Amino acid sequence: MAPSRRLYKEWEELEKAKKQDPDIFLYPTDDNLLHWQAKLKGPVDSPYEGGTFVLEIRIPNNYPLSAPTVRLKTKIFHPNIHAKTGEICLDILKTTWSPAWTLQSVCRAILVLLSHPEPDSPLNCDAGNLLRAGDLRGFRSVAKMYTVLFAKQD
Amino acid sequence: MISNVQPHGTLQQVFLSLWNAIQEGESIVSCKICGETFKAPMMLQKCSHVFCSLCIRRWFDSNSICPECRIPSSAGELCKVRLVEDFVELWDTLSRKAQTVNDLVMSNPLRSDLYSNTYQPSEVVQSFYVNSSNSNTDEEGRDVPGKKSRDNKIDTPKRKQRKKKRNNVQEKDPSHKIAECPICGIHISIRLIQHHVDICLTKQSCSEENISDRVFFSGRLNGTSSNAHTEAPLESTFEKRPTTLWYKNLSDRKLKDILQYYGLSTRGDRNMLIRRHKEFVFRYNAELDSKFPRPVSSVIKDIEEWEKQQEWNSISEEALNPHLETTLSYNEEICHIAKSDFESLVQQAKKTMFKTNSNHRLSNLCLESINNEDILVFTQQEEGDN
Repeated sequence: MAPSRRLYKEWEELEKAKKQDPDIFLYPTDDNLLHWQAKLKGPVDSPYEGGTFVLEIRIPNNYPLSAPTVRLKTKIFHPNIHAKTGEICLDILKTTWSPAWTLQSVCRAILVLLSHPEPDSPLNCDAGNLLRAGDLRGFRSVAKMYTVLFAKQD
Repeated sequence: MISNVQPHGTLQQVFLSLWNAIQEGESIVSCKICGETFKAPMMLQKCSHVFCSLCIRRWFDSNSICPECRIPSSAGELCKVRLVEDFVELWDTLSRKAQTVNDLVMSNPLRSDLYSNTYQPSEVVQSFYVNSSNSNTDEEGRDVPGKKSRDNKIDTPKRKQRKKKRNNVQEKDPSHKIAECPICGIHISIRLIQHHVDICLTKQSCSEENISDRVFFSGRLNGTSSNAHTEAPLESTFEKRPTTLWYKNLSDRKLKDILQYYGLSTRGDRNMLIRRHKEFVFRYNAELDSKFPRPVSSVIKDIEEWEKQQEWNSISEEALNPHLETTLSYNEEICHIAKSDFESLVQQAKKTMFKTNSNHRLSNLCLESINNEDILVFTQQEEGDN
């Protein structure tokens, strides 16, 4: 099944409802709609506030049946995001993917993950250990430093 | 009738809200998997969520939960919902008609006045009303009162002036001329007639195709095909649906035999054969689920086209999106960084050791042993970990 028709529909939906979600700016980067990029605004009241995080999304050939590959291009200090590769540990991108999800909803899920980190299944052990040790202040300050260093675009 | 609808601006507003409602309805009548309006909709018995037959069958090939609510279910729990199918058809015709009217409204040069109360009806919209009232008289064979009042209205001096103005506009700009569609007979602006005729033509050909297919298929089903459709090796499988098989237990030869039995090609390697058979099963079952199933030959044709597309996709994937390579190179990069980090660490360790042990004779021995074996072992381990 060619994924392009469904992707085109999603793109149309995005164009229609552009103003509804100011935190997510999602757009295809090439003509066949198999590469997308998203810019997420760091959620308010999290150490990522004020930063812009760039997501790289690759669509597999049997797209709505299998999950897109999503990677964070911006460096970030977060227990569920790999510090070097930007791989994201999110169940809906791995085992519990369902075709009812769209790229937009995936982005929203990642935003929620940013504001609610899951330290029990860490990809970034340093961040996970800080949180598990209860050092919220330390975690927040490091994460904020990363945001200021890497996620500020201007 | 028409004269009763006084401020035409509000009429247009009513139409616009109707148009929006129809547009919003699309999300209700479209499948959550492919995003298009339902084709052969099937309902899951436990959660009553509806999907296209083809989409949900493909999904159940590798999963066993409902895509929307995750309730465990399987392909055996699918059931047809004719009501939804009929409703989708209804919505389709409704939206197509609304589209035609919308085109008319959009071609209106005074569209900026849509929301103002002082809106003056333009000739395009008027021509639409004229058309509808004419059809009324045609159907009923007598004059509709609305038409009379309209004729009276046209005689007023203001109207005449406006008409003159309009004629001037028409002479200047040919795009405002009205033409009649040769197929459905609707009056439409010349600018849009091409587009409209295209839609009309495809609509017609679709319906014709459907009818011929239906006749063909039912003929085959009842075994009364006197028109000698001899290419059908599938007569018996009409009663028994093909299912996906336990491919591990099948030899290549058996698989090829099965494919041949269904009239499919047998070229390609084992994976390709399996994929082809699966796809055929999905498509064939989906076809049986639809209201007017097409003949097997067209399913086979579809599969051939699908394979071509797949091949093209894989080629373009390799050419345009070297996904695997990039991740590989990315991993290599990390490997390289880790290796160099480790080496610098070893260097540092060596230096400190050299400093502390510089007075001892053992130092040289230590260095040699580290240099020769341990570094190699460590770096290899590091690589393996990555």
